Amino acid sequence: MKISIIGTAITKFGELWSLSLEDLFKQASLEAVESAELDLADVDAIFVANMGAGAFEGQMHLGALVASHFPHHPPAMRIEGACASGGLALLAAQDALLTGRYQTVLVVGAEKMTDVSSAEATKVLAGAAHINNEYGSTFPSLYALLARQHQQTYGTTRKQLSVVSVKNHRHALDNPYAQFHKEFTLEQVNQSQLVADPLRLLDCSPLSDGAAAVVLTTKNNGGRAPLLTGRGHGMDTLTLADRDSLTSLTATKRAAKQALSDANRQITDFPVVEVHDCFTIAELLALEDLGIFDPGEAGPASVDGQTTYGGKVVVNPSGGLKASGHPVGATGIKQVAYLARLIMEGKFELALAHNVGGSGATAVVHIIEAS
Amino acid sequence: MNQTLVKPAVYWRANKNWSEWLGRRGEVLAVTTIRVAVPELATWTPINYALVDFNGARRSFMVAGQEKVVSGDEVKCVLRKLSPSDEAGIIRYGIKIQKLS
Amino acid sequence: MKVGIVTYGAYLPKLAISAQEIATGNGQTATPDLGVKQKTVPDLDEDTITIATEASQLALLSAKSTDKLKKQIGCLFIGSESHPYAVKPSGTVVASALGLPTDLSLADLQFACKAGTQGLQIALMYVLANQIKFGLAVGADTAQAAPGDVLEYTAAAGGAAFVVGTNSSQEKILAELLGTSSYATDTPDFWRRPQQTYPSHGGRFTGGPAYFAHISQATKALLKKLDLKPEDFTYAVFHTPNGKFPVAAAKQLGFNKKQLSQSLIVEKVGNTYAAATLLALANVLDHAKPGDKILMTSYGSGAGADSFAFVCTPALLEFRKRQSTTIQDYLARLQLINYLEYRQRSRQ
Repeated sequence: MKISIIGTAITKFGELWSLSLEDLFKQASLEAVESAELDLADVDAIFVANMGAGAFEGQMHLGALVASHFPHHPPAMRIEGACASGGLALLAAQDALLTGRYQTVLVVGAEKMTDVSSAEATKVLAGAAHINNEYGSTFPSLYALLARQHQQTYGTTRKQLSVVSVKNHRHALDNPYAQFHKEFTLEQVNQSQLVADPLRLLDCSPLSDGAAAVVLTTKNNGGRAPLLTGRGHGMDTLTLADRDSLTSLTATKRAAKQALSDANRQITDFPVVEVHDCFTIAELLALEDLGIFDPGEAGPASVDGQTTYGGKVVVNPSGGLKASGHPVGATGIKQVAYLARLIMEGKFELALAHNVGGSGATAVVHIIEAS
Repeated sequence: MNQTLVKPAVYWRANKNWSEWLGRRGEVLAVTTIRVAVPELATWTPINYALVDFNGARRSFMVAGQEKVVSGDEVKCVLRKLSPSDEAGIIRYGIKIQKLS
Repeated sequence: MKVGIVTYGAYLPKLAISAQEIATGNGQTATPDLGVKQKTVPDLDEDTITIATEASQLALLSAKSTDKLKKQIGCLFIGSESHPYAVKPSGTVVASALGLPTDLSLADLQFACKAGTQGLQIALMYVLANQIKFGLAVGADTAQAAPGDVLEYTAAAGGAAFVVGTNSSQEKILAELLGTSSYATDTPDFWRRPQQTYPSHGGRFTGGPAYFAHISQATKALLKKLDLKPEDFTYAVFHTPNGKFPVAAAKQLGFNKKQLSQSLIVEKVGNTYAAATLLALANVLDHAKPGDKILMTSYGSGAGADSFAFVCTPALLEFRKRQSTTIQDYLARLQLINYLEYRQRSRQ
């Protein structure tokens, strides 16, 4: 059974005052169904991705919230895996399709993060870690520890981190939905305010509102839609201190191995990837863990222009989490939607999306190919 | 949802572990300085947060007070307040690490 | 039955502020003449409970057999005027952190600066009554004073913990109790109502009728009970609200400056309130020799005094080999901070 992506939607990402969480879910859902040239009633089931609506605003029961907008009340559920919620919802949707119970499903992810203060948002995001064993930590601080280890082991430099941010902001200029359409210089990144040493403000993805959705089907649709040909789901310990490796995310390696095996592909086949750059260091780790560069080499390669157009592989054409924004529940789905569109536009034939939860406890990899 | 108040049962389950850690020694693997902290710790920033190797067992802890440690430092576990005490709630005690003088 | 101190430990915070810096910060032209050059400052995350834990931990680690001793501790009394809770004892938190047995007689004490020594006296009595094998008594404080008040120059932080017991198969008495005597009257020299942040005091009334009268009565009563004279003692320890009062009290009672030599750490530490006399005792014990007799009288406002006489044993020298940190070590690591850093830490 082949699974094709017949509809996509991405809302603007940013500080969207006039849109509530429900508005975001509704907008993305309806747009995705419309782009698939279907009626709402054609959706057999809905998979909802969201990390923190319970903490941000007290809203749970999101499957029902989204399904309420479909007159036929399709089966719906919410899936959560911190920042990997989107990737996980896609996995759940595909599993459901493969049982044969459903033929066409909607996968929609959204997050509304900017109604609360950034201090409160920091607390909610800290819930992606171990609230007891990692008490006092913030999300940036955990990646900062990974950055320090990476620096100590490979000599990763400030410039190698900064160049990731500069490159992603430049890429975002081509993404109409991106939160930021603003370029930064290396100096600006180097001198931005420290958040958790060595990570600075411009190393960190922003707080964002936004939603993304895809419509997946196993029905034969005439063959022009991109296909999901590989998927992988890797896990590791929730607590950073319990990891075997502190210079790589083993969960990513596990997920990538599974996905590549599914699709019968090598990582060197891929001209374009969307990776989970919640922080600049996370992009370097991703590129090494996916096997695109050797351990310690992603930094030098980035400085060398290998991760942008004209280089070895285009990394984060959307601007990544850093420049296009990171509404947590939406990201994993937005990555797949964005790559699917690039494939439909004929820009690429093969793409890979990489989505991570917390400091690397969950990783999901998807492979999308032109049909 | 107010996650910052200390719940009696949560405190009570946690204090069972303190004596296991008090006085234990380890070596700092990596340390960061948190300048933007969770709300209840805002008045204590900058807060140093370290990943420590306790003879093979790894754990991350806040550094005591506003003391500094660097990678390679020998440290020991001490009992400290984990967050500023408010007027009325249970005080959040717990384990932090401190450089061996 | 012989009872006495079998192990002890002290704790001082790492930070301190000079009297001069306080004066500058408060916009005062001169520092008051109190014989106190600097005082300790607890860090943001320290309080009486964490300080009591540190001192007790050190006391236990300095024992001959820490694990065996811990299992036999039968009481914990912590004296302080800055217990973090008005209701819920500091003792249970400390006992939990130390991993003490849960079969424990425990309560917090308050009697201004004599709460620590009162705890010591109670622990000794539990042992003497054969109710327990070993008892733990702690004096600890993070004293607060209103900014600009003269008390601000001396209100400091610290803790001292003493384990008392009889000679056992492994722990030996290093300072044997010869006797103890207490004195208490309703004398309102210094007080704090529950809703008040800072204490109030009676100015010069805290001298003659308060500090001096009670120290004198308790000491004289003990000396009479034991049929001893001031010259029988190598060391004398009197409560140190400042560097001047204990010197004057010694003179009044017939003790000389030499006997006070190791008990005036107040000059570099400040007044650690319920820990003060016990910390001074710890410093004396850090320097004493077997056979030395020590006279210790604490004073608590409100008012009362506890007097003790100890004689050091050869076990003190064995103990000293196990000690990892002495009061002099704590003094050596003190870092001076400025007024802003000090104020930041005042109301945590």
